[in-house]
Amino acid sequence: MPLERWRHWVALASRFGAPIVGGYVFTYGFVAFAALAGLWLGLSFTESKTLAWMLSLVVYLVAILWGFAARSVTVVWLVLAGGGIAMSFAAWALSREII
Amino acid sequence: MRETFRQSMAYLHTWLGLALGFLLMVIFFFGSLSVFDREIDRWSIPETRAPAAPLPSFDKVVLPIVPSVKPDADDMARAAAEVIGPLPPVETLRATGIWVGSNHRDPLVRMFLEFDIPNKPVDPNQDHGHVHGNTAIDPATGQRLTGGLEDRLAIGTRFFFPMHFMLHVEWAMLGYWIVGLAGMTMLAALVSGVVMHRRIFREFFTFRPEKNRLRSTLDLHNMTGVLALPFLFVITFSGLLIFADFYVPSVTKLMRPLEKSQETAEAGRTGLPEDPAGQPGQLASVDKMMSDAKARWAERGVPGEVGFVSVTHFGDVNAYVTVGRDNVDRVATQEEIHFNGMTGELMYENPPTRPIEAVKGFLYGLHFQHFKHWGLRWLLFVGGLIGCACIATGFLFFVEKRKRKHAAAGSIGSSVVDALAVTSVTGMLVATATMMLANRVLPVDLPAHDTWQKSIFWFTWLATLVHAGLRSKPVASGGASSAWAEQCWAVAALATMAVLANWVTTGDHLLKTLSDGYWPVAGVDIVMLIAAAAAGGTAYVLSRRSQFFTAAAREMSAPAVGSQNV
Repeated sequence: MPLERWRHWVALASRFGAPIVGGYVFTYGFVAFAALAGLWLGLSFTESKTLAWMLSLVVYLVAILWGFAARSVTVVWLVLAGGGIAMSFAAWALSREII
Repeated sequence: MRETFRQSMAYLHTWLGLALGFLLMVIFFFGSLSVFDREIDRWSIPETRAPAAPLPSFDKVVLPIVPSVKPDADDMARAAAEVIGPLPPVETLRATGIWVGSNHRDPLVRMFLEFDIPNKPVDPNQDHGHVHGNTAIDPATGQRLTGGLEDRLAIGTRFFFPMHFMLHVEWAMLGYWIVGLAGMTMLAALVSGVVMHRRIFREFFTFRPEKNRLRSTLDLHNMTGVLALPFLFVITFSGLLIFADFYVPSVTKLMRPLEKSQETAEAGRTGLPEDPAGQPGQLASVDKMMSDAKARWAERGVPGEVGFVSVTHFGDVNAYVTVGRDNVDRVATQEEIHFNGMTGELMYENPPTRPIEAVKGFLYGLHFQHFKHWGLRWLLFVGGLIGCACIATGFLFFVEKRKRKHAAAGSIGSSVVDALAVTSVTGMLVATATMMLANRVLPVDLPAHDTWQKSIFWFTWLATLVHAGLRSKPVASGGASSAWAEQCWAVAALATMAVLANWVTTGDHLLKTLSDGYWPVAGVDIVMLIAAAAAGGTAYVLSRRSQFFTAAAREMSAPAVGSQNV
């Protein structure tokens, strides 16, 4: 039984962690990527960053809502954390390309 | 994850709301008080109860004060942890940046100084470090604030205001992170709250106080939530946006080389030097630049006063001076003109704001509230309190809905939530009123006068938690905690005593402040009296209701015994 209980708590932590922690990772990558995209689209970097931060609040909000509504926690983790890491890496690499 | 989208939104709303609602209560309440932070400052430091003052002469008043201001000890400690090698002694540091500004609600002129430090930062993504010092100028004397007034606790700007964005949890900046998470929770709670209810617009007009308590609590929760929905969303959004660069620092962390090159390019476009030249230079007359700026604003059809002046690279030949308009007549933040510090010539005038920056300026301005519009200011204050009511009724609903079920199952869940709700609603008011009273009663020559006030606040709050815990037993068996009524009585008594203590210690009773038209102090007194009356009224109703229920329970049990004979 203790193992059952332990599993229950891990599942619960994952249920809340996926939208909140995963969503943060996604937002983190999004801001860097969006700031870069804005620059590429012709905004000044200051404006581009401001827009990225404004959108980031909406992105994180949607990520949280979706993360709670989605059926599979694993999918939430994969999309949010995976997407966030991918965008972070892309922003890191691309920003060094275009200087 | 639940059966339907609506059900999973209800799950999110209930459990995230419960987990972070207690903090949201604190954030919204102290945020509301911060709308009147300068007024609370005046109340808490009676020596500074004077009319608001304009910016004094920079050349004659501000500059002579600069050498006397030293970096803050706390900030030195923070910087020491972020750089390599020991910091140079405080006495050898010279100010390299000056900011001085006035506010239409403040009799003191605030001054912030920046000092360059030579040490390399530990984090290579960081620019070279600074330490900061600050002071306030009393325009009546043209001197730094004296008589120990500088060290006195300005409860509004130095305690209530920071509470609402960092909870005074300084370790690892944890307080800021917690508030950020709570803010995101608020946004999620607002959206999920709307999704949960099919008949949102009917609920907008539904309040059935005569119905059972469960129903009327929910009505009040929905009504306050929907009524203030646009306000609650925008104030939370703008608050989060102010700290967004801190919460999500990925641009700097991941793309520092690009960011740096972009900053250099943008600085090149403005012509404002990014770095000092390393050669000492003598500052030209800043007063002249201030009048020049005013003339330019008048020419453009936006005449106004100077709200702030800042000097970048102070003491260097690359120094430049930024003069900002006091934007009392609009929500959005500053309009700025930059002058060459050596020659006083115009260097760069910020171009008309582009859409993205204009939206940001409006959102920042709405949150910082530098405008001069008392109607809007009160509206924002009341909006914040409606937010508090919405959060508090959320707790009440949670407890009311579950307590009988929990009682039947032998769970203490709802009694714990009820005790925490008491602490975060009435307990917070008790602690706040006690602090205000302590501020007036403690002798000012008491060593660590400010620490005393803060400690009294925290320990009182802790005491209300203990009290709520001790009184919460009836909730576990489906009843009501008497802590609500008892703490309401305490709020009524303490807030009234604070107003009386203000009269006794300063002579500024309401008749005097009202006839003098000194609204900062009169306003704080009036709000405390209204709070006392509301708390007293609530306490009265709650105690009567509990007497009624006790009597009703007795009557109910009597015929029940008799009925067995029938």
